[in-house]
Amino acid sequence: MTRVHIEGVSKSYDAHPVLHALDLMVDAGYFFTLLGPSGCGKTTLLRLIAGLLDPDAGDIRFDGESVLSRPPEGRNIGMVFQQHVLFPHMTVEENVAFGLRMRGTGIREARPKVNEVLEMVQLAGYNRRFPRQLSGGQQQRVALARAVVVDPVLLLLDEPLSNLDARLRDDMRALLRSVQRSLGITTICVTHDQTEAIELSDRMAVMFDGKIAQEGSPAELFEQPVSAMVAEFLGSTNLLPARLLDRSHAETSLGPVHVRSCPDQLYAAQEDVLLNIRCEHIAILPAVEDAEAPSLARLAGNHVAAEVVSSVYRGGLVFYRMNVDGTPLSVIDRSDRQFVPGARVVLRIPPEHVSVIRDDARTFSS
Amino acid sequence: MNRRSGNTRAILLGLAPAVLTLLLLFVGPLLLALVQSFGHAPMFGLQEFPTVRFYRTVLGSRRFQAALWYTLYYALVPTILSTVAGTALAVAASVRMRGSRFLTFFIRLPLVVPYLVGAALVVALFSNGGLIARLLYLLGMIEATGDFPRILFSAGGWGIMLVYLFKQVPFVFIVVLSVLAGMGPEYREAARTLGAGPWRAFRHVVLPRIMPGIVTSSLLVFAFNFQSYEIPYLLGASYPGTLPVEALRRYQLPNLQRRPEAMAYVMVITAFSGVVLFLYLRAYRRWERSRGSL
Repeated sequence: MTRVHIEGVSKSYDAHPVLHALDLMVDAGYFFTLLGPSGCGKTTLLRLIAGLLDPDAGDIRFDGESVLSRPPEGRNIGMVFQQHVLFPHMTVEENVAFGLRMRGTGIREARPKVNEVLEMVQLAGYNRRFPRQLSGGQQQRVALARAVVVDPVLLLLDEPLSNLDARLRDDMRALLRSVQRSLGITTICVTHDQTEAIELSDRMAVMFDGKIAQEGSPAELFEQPVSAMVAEFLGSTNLLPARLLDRSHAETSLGPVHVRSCPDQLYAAQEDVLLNIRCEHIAILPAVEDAEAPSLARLAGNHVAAEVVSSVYRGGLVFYRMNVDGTPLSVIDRSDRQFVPGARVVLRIPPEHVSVIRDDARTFSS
Repeated sequence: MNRRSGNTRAILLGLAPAVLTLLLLFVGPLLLALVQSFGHAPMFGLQEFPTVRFYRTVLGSRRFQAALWYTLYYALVPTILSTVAGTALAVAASVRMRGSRFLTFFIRLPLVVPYLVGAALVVALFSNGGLIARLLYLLGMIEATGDFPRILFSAGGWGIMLVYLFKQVPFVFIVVLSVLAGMGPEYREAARTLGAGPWRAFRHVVLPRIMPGIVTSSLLVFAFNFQSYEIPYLLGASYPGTLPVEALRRYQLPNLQRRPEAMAYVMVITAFSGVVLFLYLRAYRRWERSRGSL
């Protein structure tokens, strides 16, 4: 197992900077994902690690040893490309054996090892087929087998699932994870799909504009994003401008909201902040119709009255746009009931899921 | 059923103008040449059809044998050289590096120049009174411009081959480069990450992928070189000529009764290049099938 250390790496194309003095450490045996929008430099970083590009500055080390002087063929890595890139003039077996043959093993001696990895990717017996005789999912599995058969020190995945349809993607995701676990191989995966990143990774980093915006476990990034951009990139969320009243309360357009304890430096700065409330964390309660009931606005404990503006049903999930006294809120409800537009409801916002982030006036969509 | 045969008729009718023109312009003359070569030429007072007398005269002459070897020589050597050079340059240009754009632009220039202009260029540069000879003389490297080695009008055929290379290296270059461009760098990169050095990545992965382009362009180059007459006629030795030059010389003889000899030459050229191209293609298809890519 190999630890990968990226130190102050910069890269530009034709004077257009892509990576700026980037630092990153990937621990041995981890499944690490680089998540970011297209053009953020994540694929460039992967290609630098593979040796397909040379950095302008900085160093890349495997287990403490710089690999910059080594060409791609000298780094003992396995790489899976977005478009699988199987060699079309070779059979599955020849494709998978390619790396072994380049290391001096004959095709016959390579066969047991080839069969072993084909079995691992559930393609036993496909040895004599040609890539064009396989489905997209099968091709991508051959590409994975071809990358891991040589026992690489590092597995690099460049958008490995993006060319597969939704159902195959789930299977392939599970397969990737099980292969990575059983081989215990350090893996760096590049993707723009936050679901993929969150489900696959031990650790992940979100990248924007050639810089790492935040690094941590998927849960950390999801629950405690450091910026609006990270919060928005990790899926549907509500960002409410707010002012801190104390460590666990903030004033918003919804009224005072009870929040998860605010980070010290943010509290100390007394800045304007944003409250990050994930759409799936807001619970919907039917409104109390009884006229004698206490006024909705006065319901305590992060309850607010809202009106349904629109609702869309998408297989097991209902996506709502809500209106709370002029403040729009998005809510995702995992339920088989569906409120119609105009319905009055009560929303409960669990304090433990309200994180406070700095209002850097930058959102991903802007 | 009816509808289908009606469709077929409509398609045939639609194709008819093109097919008839082709038949008239291509197959017609070939058939005329064929019957003339077997002795049917009443306009020249010859009515011996069918006779193989003219083939016997042509094939039995030492001139023909020499011409055949020279034609093969002029056809094969530039084909091999331009295929290797054009492919190598295309591979170099496909790798993004400093100057590859300039290389691509510069190499393609000769494509817009006609063969005859190429011949004029070669004469201007390489003849004994040509630019290079005069330059060497000025630099004091040769005593007189006449000492410049004889490149043109010699049995070595260097002049002819220079013109062919001038035109055909760019031709192979653009065909192979377009195949390489369609293929992208990913295959080479995948091979590199799997442990292949640059040369082995080329040999095992890139070369098999660009083979169809190489085969097609070299086929066209060979067919052209084997059958063209103007460059050997202008820049070749007076003896031996290539087969097409010999055919033309027979054709221009004052004795019209020997015209069928020219036609026999034409038929031999057609048959010979047809057989060579067929064998080449068949060998390639076999190789391809053994690689499973068909």
